[in-house]
Amino acid sequence: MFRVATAVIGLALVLDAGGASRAQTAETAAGLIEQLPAETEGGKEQESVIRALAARGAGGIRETAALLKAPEEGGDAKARYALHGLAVWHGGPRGEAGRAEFVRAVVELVRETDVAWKRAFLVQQLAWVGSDESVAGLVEFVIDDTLGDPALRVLEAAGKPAEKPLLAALDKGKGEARLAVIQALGRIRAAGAVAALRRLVEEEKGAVRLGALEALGNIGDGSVSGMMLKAAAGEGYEKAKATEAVLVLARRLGEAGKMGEAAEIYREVWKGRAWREETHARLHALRGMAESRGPDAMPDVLEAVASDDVALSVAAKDIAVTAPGAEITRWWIGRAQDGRPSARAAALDILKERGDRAALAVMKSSLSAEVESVRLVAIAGAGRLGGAEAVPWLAGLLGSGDEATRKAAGEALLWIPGEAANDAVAAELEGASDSAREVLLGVLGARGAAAHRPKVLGFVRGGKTAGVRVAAIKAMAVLGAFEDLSVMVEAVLKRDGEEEKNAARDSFITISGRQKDRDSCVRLLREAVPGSGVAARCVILGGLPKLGGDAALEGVRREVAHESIEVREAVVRALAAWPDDKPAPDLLELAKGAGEEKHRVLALRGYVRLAGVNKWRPAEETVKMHRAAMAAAARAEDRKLVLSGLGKVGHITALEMAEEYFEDKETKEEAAAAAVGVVTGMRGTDPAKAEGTLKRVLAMTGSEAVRKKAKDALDYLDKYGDYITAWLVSGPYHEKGLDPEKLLDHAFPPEKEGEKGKGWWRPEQDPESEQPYAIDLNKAIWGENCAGYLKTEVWSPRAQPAVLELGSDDGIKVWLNGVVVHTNNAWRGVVAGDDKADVNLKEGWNNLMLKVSQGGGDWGACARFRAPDGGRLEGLRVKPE
Amino acid sequence: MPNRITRRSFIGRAAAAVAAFTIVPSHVIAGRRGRRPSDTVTRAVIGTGGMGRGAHVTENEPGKPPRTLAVCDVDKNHLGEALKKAGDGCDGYADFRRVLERKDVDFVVVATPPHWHALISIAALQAGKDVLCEKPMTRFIAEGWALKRAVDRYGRIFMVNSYGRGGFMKLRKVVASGLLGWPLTVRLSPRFGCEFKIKMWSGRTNVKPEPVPKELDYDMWLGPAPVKPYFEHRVHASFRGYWDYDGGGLGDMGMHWMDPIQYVLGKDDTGPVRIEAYAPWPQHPDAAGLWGRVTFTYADGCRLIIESEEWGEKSPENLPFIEGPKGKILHREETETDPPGLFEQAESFPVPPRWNYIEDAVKTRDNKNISKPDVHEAHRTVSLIHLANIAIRTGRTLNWDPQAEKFVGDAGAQRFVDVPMRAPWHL
Repeated sequence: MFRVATAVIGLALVLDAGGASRAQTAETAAGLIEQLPAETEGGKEQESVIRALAARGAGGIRETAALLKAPEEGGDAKARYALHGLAVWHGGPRGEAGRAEFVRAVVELVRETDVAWKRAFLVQQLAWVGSDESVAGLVEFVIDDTLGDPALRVLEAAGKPAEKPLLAALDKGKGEARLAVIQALGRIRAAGAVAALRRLVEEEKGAVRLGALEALGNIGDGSVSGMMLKAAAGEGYEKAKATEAVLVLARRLGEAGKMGEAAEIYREVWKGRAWREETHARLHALRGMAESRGPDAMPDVLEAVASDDVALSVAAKDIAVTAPGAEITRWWIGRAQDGRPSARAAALDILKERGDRAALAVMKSSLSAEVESVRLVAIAGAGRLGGAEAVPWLAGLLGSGDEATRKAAGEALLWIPGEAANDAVAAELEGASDSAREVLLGVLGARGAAAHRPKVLGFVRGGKTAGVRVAAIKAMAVLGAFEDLSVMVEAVLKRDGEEEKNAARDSFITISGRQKDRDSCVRLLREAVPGSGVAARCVILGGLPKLGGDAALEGVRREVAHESIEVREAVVRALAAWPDDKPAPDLLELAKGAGEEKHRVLALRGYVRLAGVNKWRPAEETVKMHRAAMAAAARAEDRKLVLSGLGKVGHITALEMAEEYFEDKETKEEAAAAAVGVVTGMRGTDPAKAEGTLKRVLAMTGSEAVRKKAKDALDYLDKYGDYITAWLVSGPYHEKGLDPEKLLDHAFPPEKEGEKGKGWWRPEQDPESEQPYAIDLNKAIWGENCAGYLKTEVWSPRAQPAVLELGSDDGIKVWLNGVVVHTNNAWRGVVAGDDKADVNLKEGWNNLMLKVSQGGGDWGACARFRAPDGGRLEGLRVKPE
Repeated sequence: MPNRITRRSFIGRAAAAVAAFTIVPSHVIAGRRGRRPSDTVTRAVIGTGGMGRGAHVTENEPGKPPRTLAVCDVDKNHLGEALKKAGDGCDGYADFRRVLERKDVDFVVVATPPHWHALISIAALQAGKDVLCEKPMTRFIAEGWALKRAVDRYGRIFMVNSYGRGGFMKLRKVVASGLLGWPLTVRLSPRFGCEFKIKMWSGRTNVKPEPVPKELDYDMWLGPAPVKPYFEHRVHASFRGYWDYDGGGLGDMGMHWMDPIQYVLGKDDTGPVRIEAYAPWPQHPDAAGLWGRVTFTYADGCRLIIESEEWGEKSPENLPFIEGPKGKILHREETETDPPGLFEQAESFPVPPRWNYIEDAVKTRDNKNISKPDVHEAHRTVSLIHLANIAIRTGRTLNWDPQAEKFVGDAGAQRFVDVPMRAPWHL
């Protein structure tokens, strides 16, 4: 906070950040500085302190520097704020006079003091503001062990004026100080240092020699290229760095317009480096060749593109695509017109990617090439490079007898940007054949050409062929608005063909999906039912499940007793395809009592399907639904169907039901398959029971496929059986303004008595994942800066001590029977057994809950109970409820 | 609409990925001398503290070819823990240069503090390795120029391990479809799930020097950074609070939150023209401090406003996440819009997927279709962090030329763009 200095002698008028005037008064710089923060919690108004200090000129700087203290002593943060603030202040666009005065004052201070830490801090501040005037004052320090580094920073900022002093210092320094001078000469590109640096390369070894090579590379004097190429032939890290140095030399030569010299270096590296092992260096050289030699380098680029070294080939194509210049485009145009078809196709592909419209003509002339690979890439290229003028060329190919050509032309029409291309496509509709019209209408739809909606609508109503009308209807799915829905309904009611009716219905549904008021759309469709014939009625009923909701379901139910058998079948199919399980009772009733066997079978299938769509329904309820389905199943095939659905329910009661059919000759194989499926879904909730059932399956099944799955499941149990993978999950939970590191300490609803939070549900487990023992919370409940909860019940046959082995990404907190037994606010990935907590399991069911925090990225956890000696704990069961 | 990704450019991006395969499949599928899909992609992890060990060192499985061949750290304790996690088949190193000499390593994970990111990444690229670099990619803007050049010229795969862009495709569709109009204002703050952790990652200003622990090679830890007295808070995790090594909370979280926005706004090839910080000034020369809000304004009028909510006055609470002249997206992780249904409307709008992880990219050499930002995208995003911190550190509203990547009329600010390094390290 701003505080007024106690004693007032001087007065400086300054402006605060908002532009209002503020009288900043202080006796001394120390008085002003006292208003600055000691830690990093400063305030906006403290800017005025620096303004006032700056107004005190060199005297203020000296006063401030006098407040600096040795690091061991500490407590001088305010003075450091102030001096750094002054450096940054004067480095800004506030006038040369103030900047130069600050630099002069600080240089004087540096030279006056012999305290190393103080000089170092002062020189560091000059790095933000110093220029030519600093050189003379600082040059003697560049070989100083303590001051060399910051002093060089200032001299480098000065640039050319620092060259001679640095060169003079070159032979005086030793070790890293000398190396720093060498690098500084390189950074300022000191042409006068070439001879000295060359001598170092010839006479020295190790870091000095490498530093000299790098400096020479950056200076960019071509006279050393031979020496540098030779020097880049070492081994390991030094070789990579020396290679970079010579490639930098080539780049600098190229920048200076010495393309020939640059190209020579690049070519040496391109040709001289080991095939495959040094692909990266060769690629670097190849790119340089493309830059320095232009089209003359393209044969080498083409050779690389055609290489069977994938890394070389892919990157070389990128070079061909990105190398700038019209000449290079022309070179590839030449290749596209001449040579083997594969080379022509490759050249056209590169031209397509280059995006240079100069290649449009060669694309156009290749549109009718005999060889398909050439023709197809030319078509794509015309789409990529062309504007509206390319539309008639491509539209003309839509009448081709070759399917691939027609398809490529249609796709190419999608690429051409702009409204003018939309207009051109619409104009092509006029004289086109019906088959071409179908494609053009599709293109208008895919392009989202809303301005041509009336024209497309015209083809919905008046297209001469069903194909054209269907294409227009499909385009309307993208372009259509609410007011077009009645036209779609009209097409459903009045058109004869099934394809057209279905297309109109599907477009109706897609357009409806974009409307705020979905119920109005459903009403439009439902109200069309009474006046429709059987065929239209069936089509409409087929669409209602896609709209979903109560109003649509009511529309289906109204038709359940229709006199037409086709309509009644459509009703059953619609109910069976419903997106949620609301029509399950309707279907069960139909499965038991529909007049036709086919309808009963369809209804039963639908019922079994709906039994599997609600992840929130308790598993026992789902098993009950399967028992009801089994009761309604009249034939063996139907019972097999029910068992198939049962295999997806990972619950002990499902396992018990499956086992009931092990002795049924007609269904035992399906029952065995179902049992294996159930065990997989149970995810270790009762490993002992699961193991027993799987062994029974192995003993009774005659199916190799089932046997293999059962064996795999047994292997899985053996390997991961005691990891708890059956969890209920809840979340993600966020708390605005809370650091992720504090999430573990913040109580969200799942850890509060009586609060429901976001509810609990069972996520899928992926046994094929890299960590099948862990739960991936990103798949279950994605989130960032949040927490998620996992809970399950663990049954222990006796009270016993145990070790809870845990892994988590990120932090984890664990409750066992309502008591926190472990917390680790970690920042890590999931590693099984990262944490171990000694716990006591009680006899019977134990409630286990994990809270896992998430900053971002991967998110998950794993847990298992082991005996205190590290061995397996037998007899545990898990019930995620 | 100015500066939006055009139909041609966004489809072009997808096609570029596909186009690469017009040449590649013969090698990959036929398995001639290319890498087979079943081949193990091997890694070395350099920097095995928090993320290095936790997220990048894999557990080598007995009986299978090892995936993590080498781990490297200047702290012997970190190195020991990493070796223990990796298990058999992994060697430990104290000097990253020796790691880069191994010919059997396919890609290198750079998980050191950020002042080493660019140097080690560039050295790895020069040694022919592909690179997965932790965020933030660089510590100052010029490092990004050097890194981009190295990736492009050596033809290597490179990506940055921020949270990535995979989850933002739907949002990209809404924005690119034009349903919100243009220009847009985007807000990132704790209210939208974006913590910048600026208090957590503030440095300390009055800490006395402490003895360097024997397990730490402090000189190598400092590397290109200036020599400053050791104290524990300066290294390991809390290094983020010191300008020489990172950029405070912005360095930690900035890429996570802002990179998807660059992608969503289609700003991967540009940057803001004006940066305005609402923050205390002066800032400490060594320790990163607090800030309240930074506003980035792009040439087309789009604005990105980031807010810490940990210093100064907060913005009103009822502002939307993204706001355009035709529509708003109210929250960052939800699909509530004004008018409603914009996400559904934009669902069919074509946006190329971003799915490749580093190991896929190493195998296919497809550097375009990756789930995380590539070097060019990451450079633009991390530049936002650096620009914000420069505005905070200079206390000035800055004008930036995003094409030339230079400040306009502010030579002092320009000094923060390219910071010399301590010998023998240099770009």
